[in-house]
Amino acid sequence: MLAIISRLYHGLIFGLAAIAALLIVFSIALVVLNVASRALGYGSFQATIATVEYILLYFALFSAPYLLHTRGHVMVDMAIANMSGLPRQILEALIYLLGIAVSLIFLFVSIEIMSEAIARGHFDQRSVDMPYWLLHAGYPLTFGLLTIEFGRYLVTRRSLYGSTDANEGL
Amino acid sequence: RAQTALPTQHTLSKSFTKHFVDVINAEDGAVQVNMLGGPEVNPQDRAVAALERGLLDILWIPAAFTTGTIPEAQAMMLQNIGIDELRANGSYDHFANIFAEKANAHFLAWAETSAGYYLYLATEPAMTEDGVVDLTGLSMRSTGAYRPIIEALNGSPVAIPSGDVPQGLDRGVINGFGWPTVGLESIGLQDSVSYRVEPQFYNLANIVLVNQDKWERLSDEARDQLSRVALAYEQLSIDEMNMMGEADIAAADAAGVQAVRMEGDAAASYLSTAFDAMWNSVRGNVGDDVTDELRGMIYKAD
Amino acid sequence: MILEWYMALALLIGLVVGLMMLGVPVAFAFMATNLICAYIFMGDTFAFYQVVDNSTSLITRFQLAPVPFFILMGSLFFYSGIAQRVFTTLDILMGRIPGRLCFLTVGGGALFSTLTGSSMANTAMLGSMMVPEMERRGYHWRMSLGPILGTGGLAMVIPPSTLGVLLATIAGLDVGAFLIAGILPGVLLAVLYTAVIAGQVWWNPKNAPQYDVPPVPMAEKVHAFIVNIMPMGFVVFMVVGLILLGVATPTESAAFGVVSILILMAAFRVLSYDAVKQALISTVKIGGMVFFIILNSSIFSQLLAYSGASSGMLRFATSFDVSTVVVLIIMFVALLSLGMFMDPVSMILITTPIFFPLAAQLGINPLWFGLFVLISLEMSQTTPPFGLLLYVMLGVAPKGTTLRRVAVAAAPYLGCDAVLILLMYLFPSIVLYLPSLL
Ligand code: NA
Ligand code: NA
Repeated sequence: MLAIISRLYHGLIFGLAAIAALLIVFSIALVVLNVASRALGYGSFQATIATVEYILLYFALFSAPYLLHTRGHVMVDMAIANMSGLPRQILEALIYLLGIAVSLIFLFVSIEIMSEAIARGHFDQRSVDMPYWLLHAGYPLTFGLLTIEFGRYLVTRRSLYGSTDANEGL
Repeated sequence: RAQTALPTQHTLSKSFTKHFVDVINAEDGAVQVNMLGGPEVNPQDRAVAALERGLLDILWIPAAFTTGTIPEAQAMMLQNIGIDELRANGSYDHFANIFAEKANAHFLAWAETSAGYYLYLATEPAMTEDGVVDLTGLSMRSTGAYRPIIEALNGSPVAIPSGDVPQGLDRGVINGFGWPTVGLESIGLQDSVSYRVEPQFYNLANIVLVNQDKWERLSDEARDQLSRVALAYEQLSIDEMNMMGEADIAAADAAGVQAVRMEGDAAASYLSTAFDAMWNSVRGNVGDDVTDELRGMIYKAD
Repeated sequence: MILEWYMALALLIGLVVGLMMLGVPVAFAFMATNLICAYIFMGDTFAFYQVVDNSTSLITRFQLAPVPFFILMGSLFFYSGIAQRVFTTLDILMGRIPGRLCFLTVGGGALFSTLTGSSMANTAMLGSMMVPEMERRGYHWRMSLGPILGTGGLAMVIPPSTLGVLLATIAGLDVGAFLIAGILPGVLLAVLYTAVIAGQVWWNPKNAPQYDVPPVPMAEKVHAFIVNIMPMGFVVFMVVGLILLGVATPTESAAFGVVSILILMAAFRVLSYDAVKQALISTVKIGGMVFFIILNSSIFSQLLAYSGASSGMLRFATSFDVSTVVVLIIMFVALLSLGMFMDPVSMILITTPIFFPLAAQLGINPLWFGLFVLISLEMSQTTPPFGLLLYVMLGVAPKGTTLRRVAVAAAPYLGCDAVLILLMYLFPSIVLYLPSLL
């Protein structure tokens, strides 16, 4: 049972990262088709910009849990790397608790914002109007998973400050 | 704590600073306005929410930016009766009720109403038999505010970000765009366009909102002061816009921008096309009943 | 609560830097700082709503789309093996000049820079390929490590540049003009590097011992050039040419860059599922990391403005009657110091809302200033103790390489960056000429 939950959970985290990658592929295709259509005189799709803008948001949201899981978020681990024993454990625990606290705030506040936007019918004005709640629809899932990931670092022996792969970046 | 939704250096924001903020602060009376800045404080589309939540006390914002929250505000640029009539016939109070209800805001001023919008083109437009411009085959950069009129004139709306406008124009990605009658020079676009389509259409509707809770906590004296200066600002901004519009046209003339002028029936036809297109857009957002009510109040068809 | 501007400034910057130093992941350090400071400044839990609500506003900008596109483009370039192919060709073309491996590094670095937007990927790739080869040939470590660190940073200046897009978007610059403004300074920097290498070889030829290279017939060289280097022009055309022809806006042309690399991969018969998958994974890793920081830091600059810290700082800085040069030097030192313990994305997010208005106030051209900041950022990534590029280099260099050696080897190339900034100051048209043609 636990194994199944664990498999599903990991599937969710990696699945979201895969969706993030596909969203980028989709947005490239969309931009190219839009330019081609415009250049050939068929006009442009008014929704292109708004769609790509939302994709950028969801790309960030869907890759975040995967990055926390794989220690991919950039951080300065000089202080922690030079510590050991109890002080290090305490500092790590405090950092995980901070991560849990801010993720929970984002989780609950985004739900509030969404329900209010739905109740009052707010719109997000872009190249085409989008329902406002869609801006925050990815937040509960992302920040829920981030909360769980920080929680896992907190209660298990895994450390966020294990080996990191610094070979890739800007 | 006040904010403008356009950059503080924007021509239109300066009108508010000059005729409202500076006047209040110079009087040294019951209130002082602390101008925090422009969209760097809250992005344009989040400023109303910040005011509603009480994080801002005073907000100056083009009505068009508020329509995500207050769809009726889209109609405000379609008034063609002038601020005095709007105040006199109850339209102003009607909108005040809407802002109070939907944005927890006290509606303090409806300003810069004498300025409108022009279409600017890099290529000379064709004319229909009736002498109205015909944008067939032209790509026009368009946002929500201009899309209805551009489509009504057979132009192709192109969605590109405002930052890409100068190069889009120079490289022919777009052939033109719509812009307020003031401020073209301040963004340096007068060298990129060659034609200005006259007459102007719609009217700017920049509004000043005060957080309702804050408003109620102010002393009577403070409220009187704010209201008095706001009324004066509404009037002064009209002259200010007229003056600036003339200055901008002079600058555009100097840069070689020619006017494509429609007059008489052609102008009337152009304007009714523009206004009807936008009223239809309003209708789509707020429904028939509200549209008819607003239209009856603030719009006079010839 | 209303704080004096310097209190607000100290609180915002102190908190975010402090949390980062303790090891809180950068994105979460911004999240926590924003929530805490918003609560303090606004004095109400409504502040949390504003922080969460506004977090979507910066990230949903079309102008940021080139960032993941450029990252994907560069990753495809490396994972498909086209990068190695180009490099091998350059090697053949180089012949047997003294210090050839150093010049090869600069040439390859400059070429890769026009095809990728990532200085780290460039440093890693050149480091793992060139350092062992140079050691084998008896090059002094100064000569092997230095040029790679220098040219690694070129990618940031020469378009396409992911950091360039980021900086331009956040500072409100014209992205296309800013990218194009980087071309001449980038080329000039490569020339300066070449001069330094020539100087070092001339000063002490033992630094770069001569060795025999099997001669390659001219016909073969020409053939290799046409087959392997010329097609790269196609990529450059797709990114820069489509803008100039008016087919695509600068934002859109990035998508065409990706398509053009895919077309090249198909032409070279290296278009494989595996390469694309690897490239996409690294796009999610790098792009996702950067975007999650942006998502959580966009309100940081709003808080600087809301608290009055930005305007207070501006009034304070302009109240002194000091010359523009002094202000530039102060900002330069500030950037280098921040770079000692911070990544470039966070640096952009923290300094842009303070530095750009100040530069505008002083009447400094924003494009010029943007490039000044970009080069300073690049330099800060090569200064100890926390220059990211130094660590990338350490990661790929052979055993026994110390941080000190890497830093010392990098020093002359940092000098070149400084000379470039000086030249830009004396001759602003190095930056402004190309954008003026747009
Ligand atoms: Na742990
Ligand atoms: Na580059």
